[in-house]
Amino acid sequence: MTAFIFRRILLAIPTVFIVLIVCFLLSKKVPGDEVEIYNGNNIEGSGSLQTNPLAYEDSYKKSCLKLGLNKSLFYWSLVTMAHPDTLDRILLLPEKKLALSYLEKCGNWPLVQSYFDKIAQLQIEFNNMPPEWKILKLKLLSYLTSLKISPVAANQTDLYKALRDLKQAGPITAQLASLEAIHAKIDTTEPGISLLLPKLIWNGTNNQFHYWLCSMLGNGQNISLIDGREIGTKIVEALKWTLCINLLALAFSIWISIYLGSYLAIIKGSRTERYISSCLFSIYTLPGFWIGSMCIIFLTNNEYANWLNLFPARGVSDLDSSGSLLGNLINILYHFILPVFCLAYPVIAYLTAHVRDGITDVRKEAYFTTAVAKGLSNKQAIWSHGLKNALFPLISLMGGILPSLISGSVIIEVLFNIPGMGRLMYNGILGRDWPLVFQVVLITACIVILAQLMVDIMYRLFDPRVKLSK
Amino acid sequence: MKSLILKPICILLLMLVVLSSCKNDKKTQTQTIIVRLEADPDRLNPMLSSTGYSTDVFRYIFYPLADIDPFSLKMAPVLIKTLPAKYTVETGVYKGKSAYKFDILNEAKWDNGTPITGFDFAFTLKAAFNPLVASERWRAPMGFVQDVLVDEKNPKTFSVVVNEEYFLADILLASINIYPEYLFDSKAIMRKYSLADLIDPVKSAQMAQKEAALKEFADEFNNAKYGRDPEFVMGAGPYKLVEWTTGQKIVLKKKSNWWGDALSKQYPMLQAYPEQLIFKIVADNVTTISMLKDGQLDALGGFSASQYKEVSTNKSIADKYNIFTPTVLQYLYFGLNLKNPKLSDKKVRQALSHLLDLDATIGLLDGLGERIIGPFHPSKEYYNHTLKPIALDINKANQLLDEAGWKDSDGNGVRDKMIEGVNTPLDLTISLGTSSEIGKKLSLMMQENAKKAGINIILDAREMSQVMADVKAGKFEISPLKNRLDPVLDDPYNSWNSANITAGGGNRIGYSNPEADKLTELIRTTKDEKIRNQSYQKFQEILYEDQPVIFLYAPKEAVLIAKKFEQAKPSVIKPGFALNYIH
Repeated sequence: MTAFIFRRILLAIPTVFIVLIVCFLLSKKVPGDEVEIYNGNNIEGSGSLQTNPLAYEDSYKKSCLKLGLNKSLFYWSLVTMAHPDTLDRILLLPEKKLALSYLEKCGNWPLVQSYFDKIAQLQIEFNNMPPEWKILKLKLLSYLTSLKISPVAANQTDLYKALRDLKQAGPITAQLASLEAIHAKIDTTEPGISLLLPKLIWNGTNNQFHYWLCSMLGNGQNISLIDGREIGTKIVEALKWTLCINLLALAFSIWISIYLGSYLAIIKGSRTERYISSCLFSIYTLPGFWIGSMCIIFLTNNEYANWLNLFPARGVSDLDSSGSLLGNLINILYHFILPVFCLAYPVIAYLTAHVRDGITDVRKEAYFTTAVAKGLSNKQAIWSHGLKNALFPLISLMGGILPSLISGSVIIEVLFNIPGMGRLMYNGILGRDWPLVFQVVLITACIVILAQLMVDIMYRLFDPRVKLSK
Repeated sequence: MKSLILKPICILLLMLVVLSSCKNDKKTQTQTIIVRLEADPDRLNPMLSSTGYSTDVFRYIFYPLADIDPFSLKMAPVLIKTLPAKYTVETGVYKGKSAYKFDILNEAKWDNGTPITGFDFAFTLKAAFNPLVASERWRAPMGFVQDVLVDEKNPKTFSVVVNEEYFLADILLASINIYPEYLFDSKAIMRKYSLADLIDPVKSAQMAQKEAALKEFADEFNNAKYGRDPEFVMGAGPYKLVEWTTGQKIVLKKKSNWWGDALSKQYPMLQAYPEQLIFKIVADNVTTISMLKDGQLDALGGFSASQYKEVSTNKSIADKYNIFTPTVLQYLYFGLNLKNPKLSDKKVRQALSHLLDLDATIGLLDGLGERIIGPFHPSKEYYNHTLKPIALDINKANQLLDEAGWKDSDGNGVRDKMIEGVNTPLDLTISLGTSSEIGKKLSLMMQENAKKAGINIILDAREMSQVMADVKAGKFEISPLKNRLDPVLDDPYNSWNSANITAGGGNRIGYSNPEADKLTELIRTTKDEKIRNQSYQKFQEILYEDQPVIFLYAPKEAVLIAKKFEQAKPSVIKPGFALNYIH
C-alpha cells in the first residue's frame, strides 16, 4: 500500500509540472501587454498622465523589471540563426515586436540593433535640450518614441516645419537624417539564409518560468500583484470556504442519492419511479448559475411573498463572528444552504441514477433473493446486503465528481459571494495576477490528483480483490 | 417502504425550519450605512492603490488639505483654514519663484494626538517622490513642484514652491491625501532627504542606486499592511478601518471625539454624521438587486440606463429608496484613428457624425443622457452652447462623402477612392468591448445608417482591455469609448495636444491641429480667466469643425438612497453620494 501511494505521488509530480507549463505558456499568449495592465493604463477612460515619453518609458521599464519580464520565457528557446541571444533585454514590448519584424525583413541583427541604439542615443541627446525648447523637445522625443514602436512614423510635417524655423536645427536635422538612412538600409537589405536555419538557445535558470517556480516554492517574494499580500495567506483564506462548500455538497448529495436511489430501485417500473427519474433527468440538465439566480430572485427577499424570504442573498458575507461557537456554526450552515444546494442538485441527479441501477442489478443476484427468502424486508435486504455491492461503482464516480464540483463552484462562488478559490482565480485572471492564478491552478490540480488517489485507496479498502500495483 | 424516503425528507425539512429562523430582520439604524462594493479594493493606501473600489473606501479615512465639495463642485477647505494663496518668494534660494501658502487648522490632529503639520505634507510628497515607491500616478502630474518650505516656528504653516506656471497647481496640491509621518515613517528616514533632490530626476536616479535607506523606506511603505491592517491604515479623515474580511465586508467606524465635529459648522467639508460605514462586497448584480428589494443596502450608485428601468419600476425598491438621476462626469464618444488615411479627411469624419440618431438613443435610455458637442461637460460654464449637437442626416453625409472624393465607382453599394494608387473601398471596422452594451447598440446604429451612405462598417467585439491595448497602439479604425471628466477646470492638453501623440501619451487618436495646440497650451498657462474661457470656447469650435472623434453624450446614472435618510442628496462625483453627509 505504502509503495503504491509513494509511486502514485511520484507519478503526480510530472502531471503537475505539465499543468504548470501549459498554464504558464497560455498566460503568455493572453492578448494585451502585461506591463500596461499592471500599470493600470488599459483601463477605459484613464489616460496615462506622462507627458514626457521618456518618463513613460522609464515607468514601463521599472514595472517590466519588477514583473521579471526581462528574462527569457523558458529554459531554452528555439529561434533562427539570425536571432540574437539578447532580445529579452529590450523591455518595451512594442519595441521588441518591431525589432523582430525588422529582423525578419533584413536578417541582420547588428543593423537592426544599430537603428535602435541610435534612437536611444538621440533620446538622451534631445532630452538634454535647453528648457526654452521644451515644446520642440517633446515633439522630437515623441517622434523618436513613435519610431521605436511603429514601422511608419506619424506625419511629421509640423516637426520639420518647426525645425526649419529654428536656426540651430542643423545638427538635429542631420541626426534625424542619419537615423532615416539606417532605416532605409534595413528596408533594402536582402535577408540571408540565416533566417531559415534553426538555433537552440540555452537560457539556463535565468528565465521567467524558473523565476516564478522558485518564488512559488518559497525562494523569493511570493506576493500577489494586485494587493501585495502573501499569496499563501490569500489561498488559505479562500481554500477553507471552497473545501467547506464542496465537501458539504458532496456529503449531502451522496446521502440523498443513496436514499433516493434505493427507493427508486425498489419501486422500479412503477409510474412514480418513472416520474421521479425523468424529473431528476430534467433537473440535471438545468445549469447551476440559472438555478442559483432563480433562488436568489425568489427566495431571498419578500417581493413575491413574505414566506418566500427564507435565505440570505449573499453567501457568507453577513456572517457575524461575535456569537457563540454553536450559533456561528448554525449561522454558517444557514448561509450555505443555497450555494450547497446549487452545487449538489446535479450531482444528486447523477448519483441517484447510478445508485438506482446498481441496486436494481444487485436485486437480481442470488444472494439478495436468498436474503429476501430468509424473511428480510426489501429495505433490510438492501441496507445490510445490497448497498455495499451496489455502491462500489460510486467510488470510481467520486474521482470524477470532485473536480467537476470544484470547477463548478467558480460560478456559484461569484453568484453567492463566497470568497473561495473560484472567486480568487476569477479576480486573479481579470487583474492578470499570474503568480496568484498559477498557484490556485496548482492547488486545484493537487486536490484533483489527491482525490483520484483517495479513490484508488478506497477501492482497495472496500474490495480486497483489487490489486493496486497493476 | 415509504419510510426509506420519508426519513431524509423529514430531516431536511427540520433543518430548513431551524436554519431559516436565523434570517434576522433587524433593520439597520440610521447611524450605520451599508453600501455595496463590487469587489475588494486592492489596498487602502491612496498612493499605491489603482482601483476605484479603494477610492470609494479610503476617501473617508484619508483627507486632503482641500477638496471638491460634492454638491457645489467648488473647491473648499478641509484641513486648512482657507484655500491656498499664491505669492512670490522674496528671500532664500527660491527668490522670485511662485509659491502657494497653506495654513492647517490648529485643531487638526492625528489619532495619537499629535498635530497635523506641514512636515506631514512634506513627508507625503517625499514618499511619493521616493523613486523606489510605486507611485507613478502621483508623481506624474506633480512635475511642477519644486520644494516644500515648512515654517519651523509654526509648522502648521507651509509653502509649496513651484517651478512652472500651471493653472491647476493649487487644486492638485490641495487635493493630495496627507499621510501621518509618525506612523508611515516611524524611523524618520525621509527627513534626511530633501524634497528638491528627490524631485530632480537625475539626482533621484542616482539616489535610488546609492541610498539603501530609500529602499528600506520603500520596502516598508509598499508593505501590504499599510493598506489593510487596521493598525496601519490611518489618515486625517473622521473614520478608521476596524475590519476587513476578504470578499465579505469592510467596516469603518467613526473616531471617538473626532476633532472635526466641533468645526463642521464653519467648515462643512468636515461633516461626518454616520457612526459606522459598512461596505459589503457583492460581485453579482442579481444578488445586489435582491438585497435592494430586501432593504439590506442603504445607498447604491452606478446603475446604467438599462438597470435603471428595472430598479425604478420595481415596487419593493421604490417603496424603500429615493431614486436620483444625477449626471455623471463622463462622456461617450466614437474614437477615430486619424492616422488612418480613410479617416484623415475631416469631411469623412463629419459624414460619420451625421449617421447617428442620438436624440432617439437618449430617448430609449429614459432620458438618462445629455448631448455634447465637445470634450467638456455641459454643466461647465465654458461649455460652448452656441454649437448645436449634430443631427442624423444621411443626405448631408452622402454630400460630404461626395465632396471628399469617395464615390461608388464599381456599383457594389460601397464607396471607394484611389489612395496612394490603390482603389480602396470605404470599409471601416468598429472595435468594441464585449461588455459594453451601449457601445454595441450605438455601433449597430452606425452600421445600419452607414450602409445607406455607402460605407461598409464591420463590428469586431473583443475583451475591453484588448480593445484598449489596440487603441493605444493605434491599431484600430473606430472604437466606442468613454472618458472621465474632473469637477475642476478641464485641461485638454493631455488628450488633444499633438505633443502627446506618443506611446503612453494621452492623444491616442493622433489629433494634430496647430491652432488647437496653441489653445491647449494657452489654457493651462494663462492666469487670465477671461482669456482662458475664450480659449475654451474657441477650442470647442475647432474640435466641432474637425470632428476628430464623434462626441456622443454625457450619461446620467441612477443613484438609490434609502428613504430613512431624509437629508440625503446625490452627488455627481462617483459613486453618486458622499456617505459622511448622509443622515
